[in-house]
Amino acid sequence: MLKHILAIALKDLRLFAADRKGMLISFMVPIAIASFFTFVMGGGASDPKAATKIAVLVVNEDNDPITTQMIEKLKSSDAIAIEVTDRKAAETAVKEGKKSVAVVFPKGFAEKAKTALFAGDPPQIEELYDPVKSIERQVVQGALMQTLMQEISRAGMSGDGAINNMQLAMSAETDPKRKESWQRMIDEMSQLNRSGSVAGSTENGGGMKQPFEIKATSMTASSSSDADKNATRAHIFGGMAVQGIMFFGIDAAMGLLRDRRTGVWTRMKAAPVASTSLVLGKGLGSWAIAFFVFSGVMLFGMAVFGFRVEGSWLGLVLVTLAAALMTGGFGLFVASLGKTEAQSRGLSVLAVLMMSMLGGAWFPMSMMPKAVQTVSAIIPVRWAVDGVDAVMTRGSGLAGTLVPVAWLCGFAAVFTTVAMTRLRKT
Amino acid sequence: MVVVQSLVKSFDEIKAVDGVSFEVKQGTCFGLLGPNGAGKSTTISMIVGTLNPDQGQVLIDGQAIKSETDPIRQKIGYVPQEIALFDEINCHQNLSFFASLYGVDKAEMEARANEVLDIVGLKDRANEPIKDFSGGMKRRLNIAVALIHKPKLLVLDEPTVGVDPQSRNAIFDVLEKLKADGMTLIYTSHYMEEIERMCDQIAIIDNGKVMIEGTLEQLLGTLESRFKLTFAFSDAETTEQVDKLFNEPAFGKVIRMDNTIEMLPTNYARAIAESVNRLQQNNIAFEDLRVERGSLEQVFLQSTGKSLRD
Repeated sequence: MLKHILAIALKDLRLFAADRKGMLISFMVPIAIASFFTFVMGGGASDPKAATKIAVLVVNEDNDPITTQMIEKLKSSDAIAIEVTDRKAAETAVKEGKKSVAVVFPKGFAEKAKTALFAGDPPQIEELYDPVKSIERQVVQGALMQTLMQEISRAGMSGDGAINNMQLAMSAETDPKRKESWQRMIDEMSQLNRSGSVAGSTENGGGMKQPFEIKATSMTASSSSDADKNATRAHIFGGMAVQGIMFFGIDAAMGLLRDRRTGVWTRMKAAPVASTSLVLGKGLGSWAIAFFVFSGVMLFGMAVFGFRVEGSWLGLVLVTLAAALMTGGFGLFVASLGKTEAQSRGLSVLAVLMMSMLGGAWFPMSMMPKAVQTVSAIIPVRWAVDGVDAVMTRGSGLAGTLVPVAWLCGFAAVFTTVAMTRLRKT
Repeated sequence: MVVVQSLVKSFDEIKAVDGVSFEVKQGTCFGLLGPNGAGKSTTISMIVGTLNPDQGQVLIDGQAIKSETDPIRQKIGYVPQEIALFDEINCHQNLSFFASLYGVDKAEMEARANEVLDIVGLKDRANEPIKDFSGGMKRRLNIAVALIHKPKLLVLDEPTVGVDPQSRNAIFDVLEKLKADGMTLIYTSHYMEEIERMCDQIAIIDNGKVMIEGTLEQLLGTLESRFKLTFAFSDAETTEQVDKLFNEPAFGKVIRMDNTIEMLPTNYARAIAESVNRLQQNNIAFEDLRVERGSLEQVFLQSTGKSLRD
């Protein structure tokens, strides 16, 4: 019995080793996916912190030395990478999805924040964010809280300024017992100041409060929009719809290879029809199916999960058409590379998975390492996802989709041209 | 109708077709007989215009296929070796698709679809998905698709591969009807029985070359004998004795093998009478006597030095 078991197992090992390409793919798929996740999570970079920093635009309308110092301090944060700019540039960059978050320090912020430690209304920091990237917004808020609290507390709790702030807090107090406590604290602080010591810690500062508030503003077309809430859902559906039509592209390619294997292609070539027409006909069919699949997935998501088109419907249709066109070309391209279905399927599945990962279909691009973000410009999935995000959550108009659409059409042209050249030869 | 002139086609180092020439007259069936890998399909591909020859040309009604869209292609119906159909859709939809490639308009297509489905005996299955069809039915539809645009020439590349004898006969009935209606056929096969039954003119092809060509009678006429007589005896001693008795020119070539004697006479009727008479005169009883007609198999063996089944 054992002999038979071993013989069967040995036969399977031989078969596995005989198909070199299949064997290679069996190793490559898990290695590629694991490497990708390791890279994204920071494990593979030489400087993991630098690899995952979120780019944040900062607008300093306050120009107070304390605010300037706070911004300098923010630059040393492990979580965010600061770039100072003006309000208009910041708004545009976030709205176009080029940056995830912009932070605006309004005029008088530092002065108000110091006193707000003890009394008065806290000033607001404006946080403009891309609704597609709400995770980044939370990371940026965390970094702001940590750094700004330290700096404002230091400014508000040192020297005579601290005593003045405490006196302000005491005058606003109505409870006699609490008023008495404030007075004792002021006396202690005055004695410390006279003896040369400097108060610098707020860790045990009872009665103090958060000296600022963060007012987060989603950069969508409509101020009353609930796109923020649904942004994640819309992104997931957009990403998976793109991945789905890419897989359909593989199916279309397999169909063409099957036609070649079964003699259907040869039979079609015997007819008085140009090869160009045959190839374009195949591409057109794939394009139409991909369009319907994409539309169906998005409409299902809208109906069931409640997200909606925040920008231009026409823009969405245009992006969908362009993504479907790219898929049609991709299918032809895959078909033209391999001679058999078996040869092409494994490699193309790997290619689609890699493109989906690197193109932001699984995670927002901003979470990717800088290198991946740069490379993604030559990945068609990235532009399809970008176009969908623009109209679904950023509220972009038709004009906002033109760049992704142009890229997608470019990819479609390249894929189709290469495929036609190769298919005509064979 | 068809003139094939000195076709040559190589794939890398391998010369698949090496100077093949023949002519096919209107309304006749031309058979290309040869083993697998002989160059039949490559020759067919060049005739139907899906493969360009390295040298030589094919003329259909005096015209060569000059381009992918050349109208001369309308005259050709091509039945590939594979069942080149879309399994997921029905008969009618398959016919409709291929008709559209040949520019058959919708109204004409309906009439033609009924006509060709009637010819191949599938009229009552027109709207059924073909994935449930038997191999024989698919083969018949494979032929129907090639007829949808009313070609003058039907080129069939091994159209009966993998079908049962009953379906094979049904296919032959269809082809014989088409031939009777005046259609020109080019038929390839490695089954000599099919070629013998179907074809007026036959070329035996091997290693990319036409080894011999002619009518069935002409080809069989090249054999040393049109018939082979085989006597079986009870023992080797008797067989040896008979071998000596038959060693005369009237009996033609005589071959002794174990307990049998094979005879290839020039006049088989006389040889039978003489040999039986001679055995009776010598009181030698034979256990069996078989008479076999000469075949293309023997012609092939004689032309190429190897068996068609090798």
